Amino acid sequence: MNEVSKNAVPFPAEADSDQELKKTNQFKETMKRLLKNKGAIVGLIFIILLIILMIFAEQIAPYNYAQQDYTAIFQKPSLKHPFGTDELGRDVLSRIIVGSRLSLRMGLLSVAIAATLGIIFGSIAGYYGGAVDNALMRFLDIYQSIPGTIFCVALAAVLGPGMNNTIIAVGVTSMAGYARLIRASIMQVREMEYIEAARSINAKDSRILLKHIIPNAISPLIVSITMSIGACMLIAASLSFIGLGAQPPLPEWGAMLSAGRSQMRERGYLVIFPGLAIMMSVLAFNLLGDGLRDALDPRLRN
Amino acid sequence: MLKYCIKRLLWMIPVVLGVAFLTFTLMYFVPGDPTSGLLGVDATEEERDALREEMGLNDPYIVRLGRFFKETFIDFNLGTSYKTKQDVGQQIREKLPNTMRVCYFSVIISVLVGIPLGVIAATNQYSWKDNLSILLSLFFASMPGFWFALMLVMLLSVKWGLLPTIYDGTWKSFIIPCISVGLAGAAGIARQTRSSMLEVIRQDYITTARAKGQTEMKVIYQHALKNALIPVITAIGSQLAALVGSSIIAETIFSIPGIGTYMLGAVNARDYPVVQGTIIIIALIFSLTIFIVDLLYAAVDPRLRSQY
Amino acid sequence: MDGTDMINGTERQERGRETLVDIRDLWVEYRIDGGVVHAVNGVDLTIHKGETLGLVGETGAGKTSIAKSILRVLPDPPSKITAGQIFMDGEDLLQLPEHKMRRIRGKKISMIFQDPMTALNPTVKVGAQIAEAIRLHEKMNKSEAAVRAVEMLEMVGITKERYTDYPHQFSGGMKQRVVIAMAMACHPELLLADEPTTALDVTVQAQILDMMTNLKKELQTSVLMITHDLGIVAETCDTVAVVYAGEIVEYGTMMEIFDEPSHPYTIGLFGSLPSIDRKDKRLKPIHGLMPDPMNLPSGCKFHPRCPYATEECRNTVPRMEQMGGSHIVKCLKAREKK
Repeated sequence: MNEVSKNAVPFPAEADSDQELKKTNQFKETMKRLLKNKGAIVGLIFIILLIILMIFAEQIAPYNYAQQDYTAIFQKPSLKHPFGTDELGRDVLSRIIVGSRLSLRMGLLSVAIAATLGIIFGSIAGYYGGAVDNALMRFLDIYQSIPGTIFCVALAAVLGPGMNNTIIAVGVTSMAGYARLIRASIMQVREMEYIEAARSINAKDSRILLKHIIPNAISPLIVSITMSIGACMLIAASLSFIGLGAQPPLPEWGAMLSAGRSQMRERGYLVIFPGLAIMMSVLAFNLLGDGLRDALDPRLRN
Repeated sequence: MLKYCIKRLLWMIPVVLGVAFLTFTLMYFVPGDPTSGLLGVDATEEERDALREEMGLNDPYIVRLGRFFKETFIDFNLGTSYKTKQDVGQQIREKLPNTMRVCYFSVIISVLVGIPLGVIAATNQYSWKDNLSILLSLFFASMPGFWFALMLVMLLSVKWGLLPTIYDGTWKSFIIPCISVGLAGAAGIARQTRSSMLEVIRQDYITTARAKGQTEMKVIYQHALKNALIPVITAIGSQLAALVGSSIIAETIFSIPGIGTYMLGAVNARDYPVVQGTIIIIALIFSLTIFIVDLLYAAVDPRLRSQY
Repeated sequence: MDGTDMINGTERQERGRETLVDIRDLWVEYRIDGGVVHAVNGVDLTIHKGETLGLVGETGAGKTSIAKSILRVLPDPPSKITAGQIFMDGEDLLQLPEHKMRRIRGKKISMIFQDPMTALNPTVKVGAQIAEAIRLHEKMNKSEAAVRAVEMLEMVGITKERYTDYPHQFSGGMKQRVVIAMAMACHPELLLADEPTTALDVTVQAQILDMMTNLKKELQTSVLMITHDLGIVAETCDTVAVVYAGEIVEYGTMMEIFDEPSHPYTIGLFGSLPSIDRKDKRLKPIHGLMPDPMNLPSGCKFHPRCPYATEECRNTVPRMEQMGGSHIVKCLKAREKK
């Protein structure tokens, strides 16, 4: 077994002379590996479809999502209304299509907030080191000793219901992971010899940070962002479901589930379809994240 | 080992103080106050101000913080609820067992489902069993727990009438919440178990065990699993936070009278003592659990034991 | 070489030519992402009772795969035994059902691995790991097995106090002693030793080899000694098989191989060995690299690196040529040279 694996090293040690070429090669290799991963492809296609759906929601949706039709309330799924209609006669399919905007926005924006906060926090800790690092890390320890979701629920409740408040709550409470990740990779890069070398030729600190640390941290960052879009969408939907996030009549998926719950006994379709929409979207991001992780770091592949 | 334990336990003191400070400050700075809930919407500004004065809510931040810390950490008194005038500590004691029940049974389900799923996947790499278990764990991880709970209610309660749809005080009403929370946790554990099992079964000592003539079952479940568990314990530890969170959401869905519903109701009413009390207790229990998880490491890995 | 060695050599050759294990036409491949690795390509090999057979070749030649095939502990997937038979006591080990094979592993045949640092389970006490092997094959209760395990530890020079220690508390050499104790615990008929000293310090190597030689005599075990070190071969082996790219290219008694190396690869191996007698000469390394096992050369697999290669070598797969005695060589040129 050992004999084989020695021959199968994907990147033989190369001279540093052709850095540019190496980079493009690495990118190509990564893409090649990514495209080989069936799960990642499925995820990627689904995400692209979701984005198209988001942009052209009004055009794609068969009905106006807000249009009420009292002659057609609580219709079971049929050709006319594939996912049925709700208590006000609104078309569930149209609402789900338009709702993709809200759900995706909650996921993407909260991850953006989390990543930005985390990067700032982690960079400060990692870059200054010493007492600053120690203080910030201890703060993070305390911060993380409140389970994230609980903190998030509490924060969202304190801020009051509403999508923007939910986005802030989810973003703020998921930043710790990014902070630790960035700090760790800065620490790692600091130890490396070429940083010493860059220091010795008096390269500026900011230059070192930009040129060496960011590229080094970028792959785990991409993976972790992709994976946590799914997780954040889940939390945001949960918050809407318990009445904290998006409020009816907004067609956010979690809020739709919450509204449909009272009708669950007789009209299961009201909760099945919005839930499936959440699950598929989260699944797509998880699949892509998995694939990216495997493609970016062949050592982690199993 | 003992020194390590003491160090860890002492570290919990600043953690709890920090959590208390964080929660208090958060509640202080957010808009809204408890008086509107207590007096109703018709109350005049004078009436509300009088009540604020009486409750000590008009005192400066630092005075209120000091009073809160003194009461909590010197008198060990979490105060009384603004709304119900009940003792917060007493209320938490009553509601905590329900939350614990949901959390611990969910953890047990996570572990009992996650580890075998991961082991089966790893020992049958690239076969249909592997693919199926990867797929299952992906689905569990991507499924909104509350939605899965609703699906189970639709099937098990509404259609077949096996289980109650909502908390009714019996053990049966815990089954659906625990399954829905537990399976989401199982996904993470299964993935970690699979990857660390794959790592371990390539090790020489596994071949050694096979070369001894050991049966495949024992090679996997005695030799390999024990070594593979070390990173899995980390996964369980990090899963716990998510699990506690989902348990709280499950509580609100099924109206289980636990810490989660208690806290959520209190946040909306700006019932500060209840919010602060519940969060401090949750953080304390959570830190203790993480500490126990860390001790499990030492139990599994003799190399760590000699390090401490 | 002097006369006494010659006599010892013939003695070694004469003694017990009874067959213990007979490998016939063994083929092993690994299926990995990029294609198929041909690790073992039609190996015939006989291990006789009481002898030490040296399996010599470079890293990646397929030696370990041969040994693991005998025990059937190759990781599957990715590796697979695609053809061949391995006879022991009239039974084809490759056809045995798994539960019968288990009774052979660790009892009749056991194995020592290259890297003692990773060969022991880090979470189990060393004594328990030895006792486990004993209890699997001998009808003993826990305490009897423990007694036997302590005996084995003492046999390899480890005090009984260390029975309850964990592997990380031992040095590399001591770990290898534990591994050997474990392998010998049920007095196997055949010991597969896969580069047992490669990972160890030179000083420790000699101790371990001595200990193995003594144990082998005491317990009358046959040994398949896998190594790339001709010094170890000279010291311990009765017969030698030289492996190149998954094939046996030369086989004979130790004396035949050392006195009259006939395959250009074997000659190359000796040429790259430093010698005190030939101070003036420079070492002559074999040119080129091992062929890519996913893409083996046509004809004789050694021809791209062979100084004597001709057009014929490129096209014709050589057969085993008898060189007299038990000496055989897989080379088209061998007969001419003779």
